[in-house]
Amino acid sequence: MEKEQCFCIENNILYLEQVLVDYMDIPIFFLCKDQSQYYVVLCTDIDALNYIIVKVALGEVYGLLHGKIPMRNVILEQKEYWEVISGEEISLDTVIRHGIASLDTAVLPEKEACFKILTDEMRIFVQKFDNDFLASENFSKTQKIIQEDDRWMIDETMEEFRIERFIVMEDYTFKIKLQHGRASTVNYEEKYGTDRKKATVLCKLQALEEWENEDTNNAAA
Amino acid sequence: MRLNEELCMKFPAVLREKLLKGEIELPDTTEFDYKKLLTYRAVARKADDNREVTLEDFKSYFELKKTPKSPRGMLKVDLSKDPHYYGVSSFLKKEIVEQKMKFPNPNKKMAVGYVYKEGGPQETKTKDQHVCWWLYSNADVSGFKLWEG
Repeated sequence: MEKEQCFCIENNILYLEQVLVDYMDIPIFFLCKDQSQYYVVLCTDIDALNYIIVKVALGEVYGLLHGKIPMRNVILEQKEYWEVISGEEISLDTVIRHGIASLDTAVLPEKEACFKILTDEMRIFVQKFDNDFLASENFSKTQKIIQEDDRWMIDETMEEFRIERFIVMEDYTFKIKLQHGRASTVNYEEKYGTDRKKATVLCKLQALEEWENEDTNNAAA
Repeated sequence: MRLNEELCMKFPAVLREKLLKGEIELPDTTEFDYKKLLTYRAVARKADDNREVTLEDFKSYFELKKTPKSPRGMLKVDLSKDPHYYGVSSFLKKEIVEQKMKFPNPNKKMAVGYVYKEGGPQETKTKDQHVCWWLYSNADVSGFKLWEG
């Protein structure tokens, strides 16, 4: 189904991806996407239909949808935003780029307010997003997780295993330490910036059954 | 769902005319005979405004529309032909309304009360916990109260 055009930002058409919050049936907080980039849109005036728009990284969308990043912060943490005074058509919109420091924070959602998945419809969207997200290049590397003494190691020479789901993400940045002179294994904690108890990875393969007994935090409720 | 003239005459003028002329029809899933439903609705209120809930709080966006512009993020449909835009929305889960209240424009409070058949027909969509209520003229909504929290 053809997606709905919402805005044109610097020659990029933004299409509706998903309405997250509406008021009187009017979308007030929603996701848009151009060819590859996600945007978060906030309606700042439901009468005049004015909006602010920020670009967001894929990991930030994940954090937003799973309540890891407050809705306000996902906007404030960007370097810039676009103010849109909508016209009767997209081509008649007034679009102005601003540095984030100039944003009137009074228009933003409440502090610490995190998005909640409250309906089946939303749950289905988030699950689909998760599947796409986890299939993205961030997680395309096939890895085997093995236990060596007390440490959990990732054997990056193994190709037939795959991380099926990465449920808890404490840190979206990876620190990789290559251990020279050995097979290319890296310390799991160092790679994901989390300790074993916090980080949870599910693997379906029998050789790694021990992981299936780990506590999981199914963030997509 | 075509309605007979007698039923059409129960609705406010704008909706009534659309129904009588056949320009819109209520969905086939609309219920006229139903048990009352406890629902929650966000109503525009400043922080110090504790006026009772009235029919003014149950006007649809279409009735209140103050601009010829169309909201973004909505599927491109002719709103005047969609019966849902003549109804008012409320929700079966208060958390849904609580989420809307996190957004300050406009400032909102939560009203809670029963959608009931004498007030008009309704359609419930369980996938999004949404109730669309087509209020009759002069329906009594005094049963709705602002939620004290």
